[in-house]
Parts: sequence; structure tokens; C-alpha cells
Amino acid sequence: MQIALREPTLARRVEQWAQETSQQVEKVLETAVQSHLDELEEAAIHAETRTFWAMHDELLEKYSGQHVALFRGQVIDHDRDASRLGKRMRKRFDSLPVLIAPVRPGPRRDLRWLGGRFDRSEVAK
Amino acid sequence: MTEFPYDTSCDPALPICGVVLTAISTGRRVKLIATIDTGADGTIIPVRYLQEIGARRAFETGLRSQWGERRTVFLYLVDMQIDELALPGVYVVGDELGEEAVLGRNVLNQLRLLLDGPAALTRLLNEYQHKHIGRQ
Repeated sequence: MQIALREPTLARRVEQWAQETSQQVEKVLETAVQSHLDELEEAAIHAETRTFWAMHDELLEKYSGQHVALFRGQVIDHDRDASRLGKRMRKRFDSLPVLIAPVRPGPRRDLRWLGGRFDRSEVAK
Repeated sequence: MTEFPYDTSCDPALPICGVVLTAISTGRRVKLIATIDTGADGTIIPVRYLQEIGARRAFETGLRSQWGERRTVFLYLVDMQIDELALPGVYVVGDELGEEAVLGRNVLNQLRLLLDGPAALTRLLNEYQHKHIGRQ
């Protein structure tokens, strides 16, 4: 795939940044595009997650114990096997962001991590 | 039975386990050493490994530490393998900041593990032993 960067100011910025950081221009562009696509994916999954919780009661009635796939706010598929569902979604939507989540009873809650590690340098003091 | 020596560079020594993650979207794999942590609800993987294999975000949630600090995180859906044991469709937290993989209870509760502290070994019972003990 070949893509031309036609906006002169932007092209100049990319060249300058590549020079400043001793990177290839292509590498700077790849990193920038990757970062932007990550932001788009995060925003899309964030929105789908809000929809998931807004319709959680309805999902529980229909799909309790299963995993659901949401795309643009709609349930598009479900399965008891998350891996199988994930593979079907990738085949159908390739790299587009699709929410996949387990439907379980109970309120929304965070994961907890009770781990921790002493900083040995602090302990030694 | 598969055995994983503790990481004795930590004090006290740390129970660890070798895992292979496969991205559902690409089929690409990465091998990691993960800390066994029964205090973690979920499994936590440095996000760069997930990016390396092309895993995609599947869900958003929060991760809270025992001191109440909260961080928004994304879950990624991967297939996991520990020795010969296949664990398909595991949700793992993509850690944007940390460099350590942590095997939490979403995975540990599917395993029969013996943490042999005096021998500094994590013993993972094989499938036969899983079934055998399951009958007892």
C-alpha cells in the first residue's frame, strides 16, 4: 500500500520529527497511525461497553451465561464459547472494533488486584 | 506433572508459570512468564505483548488496587495455553504501564496447582491428574 501525505505542514512536521528522533519517516508515520487507530478503538469499545451495561438486564434475560458481541450498539452474535465467538467476529469484521463480553448476573463492578510489592530499598531504610 | 521453579531473584521467592497467549484475531503467539497471584481477580498482561500478537480490545472495565486506586483498563480476548492445558477464550487486562504478567484467579481457578514453597516449585498437575483428582 502506498499513501501520499499531501498536507505540506504535516509532511514537514513528520520529516522534522523523524530527523529529531533518528527514525525513518515511515516509522514515525506508522507509530502515529497506530496510536490514532488505538484511540479510535478505545473510543468505540468504551461506547459499546456503555451500551452493554445500559442493556444488561435485557441481555441477562436472553443470554445469561453466554458471551455476546456488540457492534454499533446492536447484539450481533452470542455463544457459550468466547473463543469461538471471537473467531467468528474477526472473520466477519476483521479489525473493526467489536465488543465481546460475558453476560453474568450482578451489578457492574471493577476487577480487584490485591497484589503489591515492597520496594526493597525502602524496606532496608 | 509440570514444574516451574520459583523466581528466586525476588525476596521472598515468587511462584511463576510459563504461558502461551494466542491472539484470536491473528493466530499469532507469544510466550510469557507470569506471576501466580491469587489476589488478582483477573489476568494482567503488559499491553505491548498483546499488540505484538495483534490482539484487539474486547471490553472496558476498571481495575482497583487494595489501596483503592482505580484505573480504566481494556480486556483482550485470547486463547491461553499452559504446558499441555488449553484454555480458550480468556479475558486478560492489557496493562499500559507495567512490565509484569500476572496470572489471576480467572485462570488459576481452572487449574490444579501446588505451590511447593520449600522446594521453590510450582507444580501444575497434568490432564490425567486433573481428571483423577476430580473423581475423588
